[in-house]
Amino acid sequence: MSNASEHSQFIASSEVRAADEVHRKRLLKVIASYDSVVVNQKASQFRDWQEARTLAGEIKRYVLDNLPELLEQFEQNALKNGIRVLWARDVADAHRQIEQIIAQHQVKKVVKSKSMTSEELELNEFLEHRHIETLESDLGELIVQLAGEKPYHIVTPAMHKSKEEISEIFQKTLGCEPTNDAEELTDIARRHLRDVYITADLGISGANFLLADEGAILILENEGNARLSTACPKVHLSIAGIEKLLPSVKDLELFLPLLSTSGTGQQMTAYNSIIRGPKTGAEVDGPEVMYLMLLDNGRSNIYGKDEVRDALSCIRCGACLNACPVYKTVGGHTYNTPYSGPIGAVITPHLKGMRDWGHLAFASSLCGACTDVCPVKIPLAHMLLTNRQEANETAPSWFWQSALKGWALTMRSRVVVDLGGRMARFGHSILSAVAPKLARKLPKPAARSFSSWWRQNGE
Amino acid sequence: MESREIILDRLRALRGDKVSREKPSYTPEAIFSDIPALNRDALIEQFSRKLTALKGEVYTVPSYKLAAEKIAALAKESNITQCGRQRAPVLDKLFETHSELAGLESNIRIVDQEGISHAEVESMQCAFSVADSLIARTGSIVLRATTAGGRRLSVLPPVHCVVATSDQLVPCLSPWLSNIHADPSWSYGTIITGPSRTADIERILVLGAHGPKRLFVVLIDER
Amino acid sequence: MRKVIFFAPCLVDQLYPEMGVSLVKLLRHFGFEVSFDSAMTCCGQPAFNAGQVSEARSVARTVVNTLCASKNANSDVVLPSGSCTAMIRRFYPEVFHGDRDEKAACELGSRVFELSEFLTKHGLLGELKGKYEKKVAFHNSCHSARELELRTEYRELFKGIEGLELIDPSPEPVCCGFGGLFCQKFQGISQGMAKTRLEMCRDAGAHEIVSNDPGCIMHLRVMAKDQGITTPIRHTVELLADAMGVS
Repeated sequence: MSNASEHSQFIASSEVRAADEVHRKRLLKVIASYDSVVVNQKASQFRDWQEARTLAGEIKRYVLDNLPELLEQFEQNALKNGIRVLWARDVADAHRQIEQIIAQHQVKKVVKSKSMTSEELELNEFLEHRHIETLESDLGELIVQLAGEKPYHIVTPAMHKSKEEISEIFQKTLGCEPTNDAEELTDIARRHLRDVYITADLGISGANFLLADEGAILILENEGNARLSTACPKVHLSIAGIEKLLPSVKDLELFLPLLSTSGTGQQMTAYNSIIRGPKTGAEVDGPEVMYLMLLDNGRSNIYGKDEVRDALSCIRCGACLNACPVYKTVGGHTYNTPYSGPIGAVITPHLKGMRDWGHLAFASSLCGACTDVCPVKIPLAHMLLTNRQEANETAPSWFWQSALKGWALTMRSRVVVDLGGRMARFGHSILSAVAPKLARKLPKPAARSFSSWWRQNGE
Repeated sequence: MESREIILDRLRALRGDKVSREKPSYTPEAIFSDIPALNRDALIEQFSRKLTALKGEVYTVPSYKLAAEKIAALAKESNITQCGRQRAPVLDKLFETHSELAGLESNIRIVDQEGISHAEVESMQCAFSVADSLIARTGSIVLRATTAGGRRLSVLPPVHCVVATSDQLVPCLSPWLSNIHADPSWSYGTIITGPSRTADIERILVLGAHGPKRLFVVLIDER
Repeated sequence: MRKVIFFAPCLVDQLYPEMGVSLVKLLRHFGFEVSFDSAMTCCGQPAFNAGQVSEARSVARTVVNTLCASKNANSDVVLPSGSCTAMIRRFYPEVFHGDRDEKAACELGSRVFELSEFLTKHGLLGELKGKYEKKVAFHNSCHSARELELRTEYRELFKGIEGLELIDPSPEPVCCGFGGLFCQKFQGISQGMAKTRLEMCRDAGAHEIVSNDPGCIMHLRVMAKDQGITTPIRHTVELLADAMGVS
């Protein structure tokens, strides 16, 4: 199926997580509270949620159909606005260009707002390696950074941590007093980061949307740390996937509430900021230089495959993670890659290789909950299925290929099936005598099959 | 070849013949069921209701004088003496001509005139700004760095007070999005919907994560 | 007499013939002439879900050939399984894409019916009358709900059963964790999912759990046994046959 290392790591981690009752119950509770607000939000503001998501999906498909042109339009407008537009093919290319920025602006300290693209680039490690102090400002990201962990969820990075655990982390790394009060914990983080915003030489952010007709980015948040990270330091770098485009700033009317509804169940998040360049002559503050890095890093692999291309419509809301019963059983770390949950299982094999990551597509019951909730109507479950087909072609599992070939041969013949049934009954009775405990775990073959009953009672 | 050419060429090659699909068109009215009617009272009602539900504070007053009194009272009950504001006709009129605010005004830092430092903005207990518009559907305030005293004024201090007039209310976002598109002078705009918040800790709602903990709107509704 | 072909899903044939027996008796009670062609053993779903399309096609071809044979060609087909029905209706077109039997395979979709669809089509929902005094949780299979779009139709099946209190363990369908070979490849996750689902049923106060998919039933039964849960778990058709006194 795929490389033993990532696959077996996934299995090992998933076995531990799935058996962890505390973890499972906590995850279910957190996501249940999300579920209840999302349902209300969809009903209260959208005339018809199904129509809204169909429309949003169509707009995103339009973007994909016209991706090269919209990228050029975006770049042209961004350059006019004074943004330095960079293009990065892959991690190495991105690192090389970020290194130039660091050198040019003598960067020694970086403040970051939440950015999944920076996770793809392993940017924190890259910067720390170069002795550049790097601080996450998003509360959830800060918590996992201080804990020495990766983000657990693309929207709520510290979903798996209890207040007590967070307090311990803060006590250990920030030397503060213990507290189990969420307000006090938040205040500790706020005070810790207060002067980082101005002492940092560079602010790094992602971008939720790229606005083609405006040459601007949109950053959506609740805390205000992205506003501060992009207002105070002298240099701002935003890293965004090439697929993050919307045709027009006017599309924000639909996409902002769509993203916040699916992401957190809010009508709008507290701050939605349109950043169109470094500070202008008419403004009193803001960065002097702004870079926007357009990141490919495997997205063009997805673009080239009809079966999964539409996965590039993703607006990174996290709804599929919250809907996925597999995610809710194991959590985000088991995936061991920045994008987890159904969207992660769909795109990661194409971004990082089917051989190493194909197992993610099999780690699903194909229940379809992800397809149901996606606000841009990506047929995620079906893409998991086509990923499996591709995995079987490029990195097959000898065991399962043969097993299913044998199974198919059996199932084509009623005679063989019935024979197999008789053997299974016989085998089970032996097992019951020899290893009754194991026998009790397995489903017991019926005393006689339906087709056998039919022969007697059918006509 | 530059990365730019490599990426664009690759995308074009993979995409093949351009699919001439038309961009779907739509109106906010077709999507949203909660767009308020275009009359002043309905707009005020929905804006106040939405923002209040999100723990913003909305005070509708019929005159500049009562606005001044309200602000003075709020400042007094919160022990606010160190403030900052921008230059704008509404704020100038309010602060410079009303004795109720003389105390605050004498101490106030004007951000867009004085080359103000980060430390000074940080030390403000409250920031006063105007807005471009107020969005009634969602209880949002929209502003830009050019019109609202910069990027930091409305996010660094722990209290942000927006002074607006009721004719600035619009039903939804689209009018503002269209207007700013045509104006080249700004680099930064933001849509504010409530005080700063986070639910990153066990999904427990906490206000005032990094941005303001309190958001006031003093809405002057002169008829 | 109206004719109908009963398709026994592989799990029903080998593990749970009693589900098939109940369904046949129910259909005969409603005056149908039921036929069964033993040549059909499986819809091919296990291989298809594993991404092995050609193996799925070889097994599915048996289904296509059998149902297109002249003696079967004019009858509808009823299945006690949403996932098998979905396989035939929604996925056979993909399985047989470009194949010589593509046309025949695609036409099957309109002839196969999951149990509740079949009863609805023939206006029999009102005839489901009986007595069954219990709080019953309905576990709607993911394929029934999402592939066949049968999200709430199951409620109609129980309206005429006196004393039966129908419970939804969750507002939306929640997967039991079976997923075909998934439960073998990712055992820990699959078991965790089953535990979650059984907890939902318990928390909703169920004295019995019924479902429209043999795979779900098998999987939930294994976990129930493991957890010492004695709540009976069986197929909708078994409960209906009991309640109506036709078993």
